[in-house]
Amino acid sequence: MPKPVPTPYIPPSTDPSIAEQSTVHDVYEAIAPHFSQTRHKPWPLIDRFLSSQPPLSLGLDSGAGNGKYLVTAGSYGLDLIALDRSAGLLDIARRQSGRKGVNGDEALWECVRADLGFKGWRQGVFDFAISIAAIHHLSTPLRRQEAVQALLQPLRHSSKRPYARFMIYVWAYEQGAASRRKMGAVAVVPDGQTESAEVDKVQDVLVPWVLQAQEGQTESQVFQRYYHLFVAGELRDLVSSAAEAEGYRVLQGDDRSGGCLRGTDKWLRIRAEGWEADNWWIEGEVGLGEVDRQDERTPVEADGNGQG
Amino acid sequence: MVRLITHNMLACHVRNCNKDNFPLIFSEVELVIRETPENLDFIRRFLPKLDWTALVDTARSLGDTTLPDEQPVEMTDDQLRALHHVLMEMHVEEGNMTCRGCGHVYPISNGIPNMLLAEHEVGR
Repeated sequence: MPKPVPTPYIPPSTDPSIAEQSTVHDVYEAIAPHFSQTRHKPWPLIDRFLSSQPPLSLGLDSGAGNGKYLVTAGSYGLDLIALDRSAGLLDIARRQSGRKGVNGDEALWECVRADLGFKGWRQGVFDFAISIAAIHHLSTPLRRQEAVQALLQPLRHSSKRPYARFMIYVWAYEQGAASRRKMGAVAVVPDGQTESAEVDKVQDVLVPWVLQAQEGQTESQVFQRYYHLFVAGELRDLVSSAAEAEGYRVLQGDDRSGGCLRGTDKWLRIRAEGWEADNWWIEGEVGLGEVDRQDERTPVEADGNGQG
Repeated sequence: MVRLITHNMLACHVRNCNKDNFPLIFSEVELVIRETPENLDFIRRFLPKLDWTALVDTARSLGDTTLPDEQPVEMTDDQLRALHHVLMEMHVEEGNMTCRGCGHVYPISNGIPNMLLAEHEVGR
């Protein structure tokens, strides 16, 4: 069988929650154990983000999948709660290593089954939040914005350092030459046409996952997962819209206007962003009132890696 | 696991359910106590975020009466240890969490609370 390639996404339903059920949630439940075997190594910038959090911080991993960042967080003395839609993946996540029990045993991680737009967290409970390779599975701009809002809402809002920080990763439309994802092959082929004409690239795609034949089966199965591929600037715009909808003043980079903020004004500052290995990422922080810039620590891209 | 620390952070999120939506009330609970290495600094750090009354009421509903009605201004190490036990070692493996406001039931299975709602129940 030839290797399946990504294809343009045609929503199977006008209701995005129904469409995502068959093109995201059902797929992850079906491929969870196999998917998890392929997801071990933490991505370096996320490792660095976690390592820069103050020890004993409590964080949220929204769209945690198999919980590979639980292990990373545990190694830096952090506590992290995994949120995901997939029961199959959470069952793997809770048993990830890195959480110390008594007598040297491994303890279980805390997991919550919910959507990325889950708004049930009490405000102010998390010191940091990450959402890695998850928000691109939501099929409308509003649903993606609500996911970012849901990530910001439970963050601790402090009037002094350390401020609560967040990091978001999504798949990029702009694929590097060394990419293994081959998104450039995505093309619209009219019905009945066998040769792929040169046509528009599309941002909303179905990406195949090949599940090799299991015992008792003769043929491998191909599952199609929905992705929204982000273009340059789109992730920043998404974070800004979500922040404005939540009533934040959005500060850019070394914007000094923080000085005019009053004590109860919520602000969100984008600390760094970039493109790395076919993904767009963004790191930000939130706080209240005047921005304290003393003892500024450099964001994760400080070694020149990533600015895109 | 639904430890009580996590329970202390979770509210009902059904559309328009704004009253009595926290804390969620446990029922038909299978409770497991798992000894966990003591980290009192972590507990101290969590104190400003804690909803004390919700925690005390919930712990008592599960049979633990070690916490006082009012949050002590200065916590002794013994009090922090009691808090560690309640927050970190009491795990609800199976059962339900019910909203006092709207009656929605969130089931807990295999230690994982299911907070999913039907699309029409989700608040925007």
